[in-house]
Amino acid sequence: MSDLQPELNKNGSLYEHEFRVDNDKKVPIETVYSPDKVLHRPRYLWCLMLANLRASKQLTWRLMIRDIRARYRQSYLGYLWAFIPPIVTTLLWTVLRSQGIFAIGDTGIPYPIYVLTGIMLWDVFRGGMKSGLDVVNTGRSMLTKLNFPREALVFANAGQVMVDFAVRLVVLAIACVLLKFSPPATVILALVGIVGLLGLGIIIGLLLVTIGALYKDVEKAIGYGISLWFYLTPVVYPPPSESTLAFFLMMNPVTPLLVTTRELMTTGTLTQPLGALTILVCIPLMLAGVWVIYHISMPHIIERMNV
Amino acid sequence: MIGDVGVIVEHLSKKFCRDLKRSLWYGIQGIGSEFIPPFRHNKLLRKDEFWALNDISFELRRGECLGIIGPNGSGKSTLLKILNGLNKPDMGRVTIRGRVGALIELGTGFSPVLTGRENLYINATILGLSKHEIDGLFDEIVAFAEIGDFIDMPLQNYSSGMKVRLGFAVAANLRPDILIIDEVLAVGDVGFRMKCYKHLRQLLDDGTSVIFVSHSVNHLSRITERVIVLNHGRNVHDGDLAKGIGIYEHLVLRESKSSRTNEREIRDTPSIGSVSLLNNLGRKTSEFQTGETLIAEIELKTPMKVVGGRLRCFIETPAAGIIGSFATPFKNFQFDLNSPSTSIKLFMPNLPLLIGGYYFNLSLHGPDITDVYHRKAPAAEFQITGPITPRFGFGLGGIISFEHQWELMPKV
Repeated sequence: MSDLQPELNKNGSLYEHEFRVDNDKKVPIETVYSPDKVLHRPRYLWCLMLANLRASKQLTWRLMIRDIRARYRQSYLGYLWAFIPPIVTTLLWTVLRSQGIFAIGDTGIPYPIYVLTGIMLWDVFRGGMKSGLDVVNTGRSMLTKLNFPREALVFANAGQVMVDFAVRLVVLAIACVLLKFSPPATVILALVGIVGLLGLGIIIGLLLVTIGALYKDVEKAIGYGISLWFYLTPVVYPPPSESTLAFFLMMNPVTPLLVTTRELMTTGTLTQPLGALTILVCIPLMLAGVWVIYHISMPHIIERMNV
Repeated sequence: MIGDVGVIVEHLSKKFCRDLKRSLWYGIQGIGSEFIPPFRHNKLLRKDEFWALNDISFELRRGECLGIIGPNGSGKSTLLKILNGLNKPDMGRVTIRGRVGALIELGTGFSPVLTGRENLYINATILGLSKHEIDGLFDEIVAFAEIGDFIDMPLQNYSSGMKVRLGFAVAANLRPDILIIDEVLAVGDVGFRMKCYKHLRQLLDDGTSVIFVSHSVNHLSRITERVIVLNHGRNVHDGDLAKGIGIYEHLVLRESKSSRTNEREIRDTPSIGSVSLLNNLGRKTSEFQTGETLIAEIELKTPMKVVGGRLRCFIETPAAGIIGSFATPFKNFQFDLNSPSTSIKLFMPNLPLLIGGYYFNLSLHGPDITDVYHRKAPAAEFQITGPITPRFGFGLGGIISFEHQWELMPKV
């Protein structure tokens, strides 16, 4: 039976799953639901998760298109709304700074570009985080009534974040032309950092969902925590070299990644390459770990979720 | 076409928690226990828990249809969720051979601002079809749903019936090995419902196993002969549909009876005492066959003598309400109420009722219009347990057994 590959059930996630051949006749795939804990059989679990991954390909695409289309359909300005938020936020910070309401050190590049890239990158991280609770909450009715590869919801959200980012690149390009700023060649490498930020967001989002989908406390805490986190990350200001804040910024895993990615996009000279590299290496491992947790806890969450 | 076993359920049990806060905590514990050894499952009930499903076992073959009925909260939906892989069992195991299609709620994942066409693709993808498959089935699905030009309109312009039709059309065209349906056919107009039943019969003939959960027991006979009755998470009947419906209605009767309390202990007016039902052999029973004789012995208690009592009798079913009534004056039956009690006997020959559970309700009146002494509902209950007549819609169906004859007319 070793030549048999576990075949996918199109319905997605299964707890156990076998495929056998009797007298050259394909016997339908067998799905077993039992209270046994899947972690007990790690290789098998891995097979299942990979199967889920393949099964979620088409669904991811559909869900992504659905969400993007549905988002702007019921509005007059339509897709224009994708551009408005970054422009408004950038203008806001630029005006505040130029009026001397707060002092922000030298950024080395035109401040609007600095803020715009910072916010775009932060939104990638923040968007990745939404793969957890936000996605589970909006997909509640689907999750409690249909069996489908739940990974698709995460991927669809990630895809949407990347689409948003790509759209905002247009705003950035226009800003660059207006301010006569030419990005360095390292901008290509920034893609790695962007994917890293997305991954980091997903890791945190999925970790929080295991508890947050059950207890609303987490959702409330995230609401406050995320704005605090925004200010503890050098998004709109350059990282200070010496202050009590510097310690927090150093402990913040988003800092090196965001700073380095922005530097790749704008100046080309890196100030925290080592920190960024360390985090980038950790991300795939952590992502795999978090995925296992997500995969195993979803049935428990769905069961207790009030519809 | 009934073939190999498609679904095996062995000693399936599932715990549920009444208290929300505690349930959430158990959820966290459940997640935690997945990662922390020992990998052993706790088989005991914790505080506030009960068995939503308790030791359920059955098998379902290819091309076989199984109805699942039971009073509210008997575990039907939980069973379906486990069969569909949404909830994990606490004990026992479920083996499913083949692709499962579930219709637990129609149109899950529909977006109101997108067109029917867009929603159709999304819905079908969620249910597990590839784009290629959907392209091939598209025309068939739209035709089945009878939506026509509306397919390119946003879903919010659809009537609720149209949404249901679209939802069912997508799901029905999945052609799964096992189809799980929960109540969804209760919506939609009669014509479409009939079409759905026809489609289900076709799926059954093609070898799909169908599991059908329903409250409208009258419709079950259209597609199934086998039914499982659940009560408080236990499987109390697995087998013949008609008998199952009788048991189900009996359970519903019992439940509604315990909620109806209109009994007073001491009465200063005449009242209805014990009521016993007997068959034509004079044996006490609550089970009768269509066409049998039902005899009711009714005890009437009174603190004082009343000349000229009147008694009304109502036959009721949980499904249709009161289906008939009659009273003593109609048959010119006169009786007096003598202290302490008087007994009268009612004969109902040739019962025209079909399989199901029935209430026998009584109300006792005096000679004047305003003399309403006592109403007892139900005074007794009985089931018609046979004979089995539905024959997939080509036998007797519904509640009443109509007398009828057929004959061929000579050529003119």
